[in-house]
Amino acid sequence: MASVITVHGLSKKYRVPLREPGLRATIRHLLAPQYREVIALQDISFTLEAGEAVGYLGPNGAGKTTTLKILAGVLYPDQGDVRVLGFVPFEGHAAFKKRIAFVMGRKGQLWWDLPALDMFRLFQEIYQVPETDFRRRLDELAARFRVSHLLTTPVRNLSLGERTKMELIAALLHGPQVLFLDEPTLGLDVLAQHEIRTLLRTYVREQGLTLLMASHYMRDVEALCDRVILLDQGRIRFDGPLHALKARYAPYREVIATLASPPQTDAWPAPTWLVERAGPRLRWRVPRDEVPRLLQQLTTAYEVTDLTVHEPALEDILRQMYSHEALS
Amino acid sequence: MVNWRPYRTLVELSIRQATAYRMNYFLSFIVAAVPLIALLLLWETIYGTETQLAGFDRAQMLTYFILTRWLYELTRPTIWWDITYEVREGDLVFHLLRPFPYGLYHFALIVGFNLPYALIGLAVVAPFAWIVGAGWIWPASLATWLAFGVSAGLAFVLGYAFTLLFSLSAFWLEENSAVELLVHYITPLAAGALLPLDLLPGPLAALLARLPFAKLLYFPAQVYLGRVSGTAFWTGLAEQGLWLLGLILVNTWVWHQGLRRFRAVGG
Repeated sequence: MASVITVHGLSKKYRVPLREPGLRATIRHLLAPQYREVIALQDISFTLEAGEAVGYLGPNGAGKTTTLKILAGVLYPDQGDVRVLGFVPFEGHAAFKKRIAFVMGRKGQLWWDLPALDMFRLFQEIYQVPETDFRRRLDELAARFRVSHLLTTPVRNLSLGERTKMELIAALLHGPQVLFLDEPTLGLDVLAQHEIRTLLRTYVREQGLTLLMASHYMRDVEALCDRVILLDQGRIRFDGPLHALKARYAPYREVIATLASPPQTDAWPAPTWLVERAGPRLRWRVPRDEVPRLLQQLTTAYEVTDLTVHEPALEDILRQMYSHEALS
Repeated sequence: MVNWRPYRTLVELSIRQATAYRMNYFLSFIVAAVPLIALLLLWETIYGTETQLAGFDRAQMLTYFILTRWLYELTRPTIWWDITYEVREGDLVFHLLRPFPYGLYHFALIVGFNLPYALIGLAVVAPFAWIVGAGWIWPASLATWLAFGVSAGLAFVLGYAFTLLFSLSAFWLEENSAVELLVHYITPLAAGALLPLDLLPGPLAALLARLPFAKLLYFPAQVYLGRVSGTAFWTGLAEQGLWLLGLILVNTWVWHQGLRRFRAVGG
């Protein structure tokens, strides 16, 4: 079967005005504005199969939103071949638009002064969703997102979390097969973030949606995606399963042990890997294959009262990658 | 087959939106009447003991101003800010995602906003003629009513096409309040809301009468008063229609050019 999303050799540049501070520069800008080119995407290629959920990661300005907008048909690519569900997105076929959805955490499409239900009705008519499908989807989504009682409340009177849920419902009512999410949990508190990502995970899996999600919240990605594409300065740095990213860029584990009686001498176990020592509590950063040996050494030679082994958080890996330590 | 239901819903939603803040909605009618009071008092004074000015008697003149004031409510650029905002802030993205034409989306909204407003405004505006004691002129015949209906209807669509055009300048200018201001200052003069065009110097009046602005207010008001009829009416109507057609074509072109730019620079 053909891939749902195919991106081949995609490039995109922007032209942004140069505005230096000062009155003189202001006058110069008025008379002869200057621009500089910003490369947003440089020769990007990847594919997504039906039902895949992929996290699209990268620091601010890496080109994540640009890619999503091109895939949703809102921006033109400068170069490259992009297909979504067999369509060229920017050609804007109605059949294409009816099969995709794009949710932006930063922007909403619901009118503030009206209840969400009013807009849901409008979208039903615009997308020509049969009444039975509409009712079924709305009842199900609203029940799941626990907002059934808020459908007739003006959007401005909803909390940010409730509004985000309404925006998601609005995007899902026409039953899209491909879902683009751009920072869907932006600005939400920890509880609301957790709730929304759990709801999304269940829904996306049940419906077999193909998902491409840009997010800064690693928990979003870990909860929803099996595969990640890492973007940096417009180029793909990594594309593969989440665990492979960790194995490749974080080939170490963190071992924390608390000893009953700290050794009197300076002969610490595995001193090469030791990174922190606070009384009886010791912390090591150990290559993965060295872990068993360290554990064995610890348990035979010392009396250990507490012992934990951590896989590094995705956040730490990315922080390291963004600062270009791990890239070369 | 055309899918009409979203249009009906959009009109309804637009009414719901306009009336979401009831006090403000009612107040806006009262406020809209204020410049009218000033204008009518001014013309009462100007007429003094005169009976005719540029072919208008006192009753015609006062009716003319009440009528153009009302036509202004019908044709005014209410959705200018919405379109500008959507283009500048990138919310246009939502429209591009939906399988629905942008121009008609906002047309449905302006129908829902301007039409009810103008209808309710009728009740507010009509008593003024009696208050100033000038009487009110009714169209001479059913034919005049019909002619006025058609020209006012065209003026409404023309007003929207015009609003859309200068709102879309946001694709290039981003901040286009200067354009709005220009339209705001030119329209009253060129459309005949400040003065009937007949009171302007001959060549200028002749020129302005042919421009689209005059087709918004001046022309339908003239038709109502029976000052334009027969061949002059049909010519005027044809000009109105041609301007509308021209503006639709220009809008289509501008929209596609703007979209090209929007999609190229990012939103």
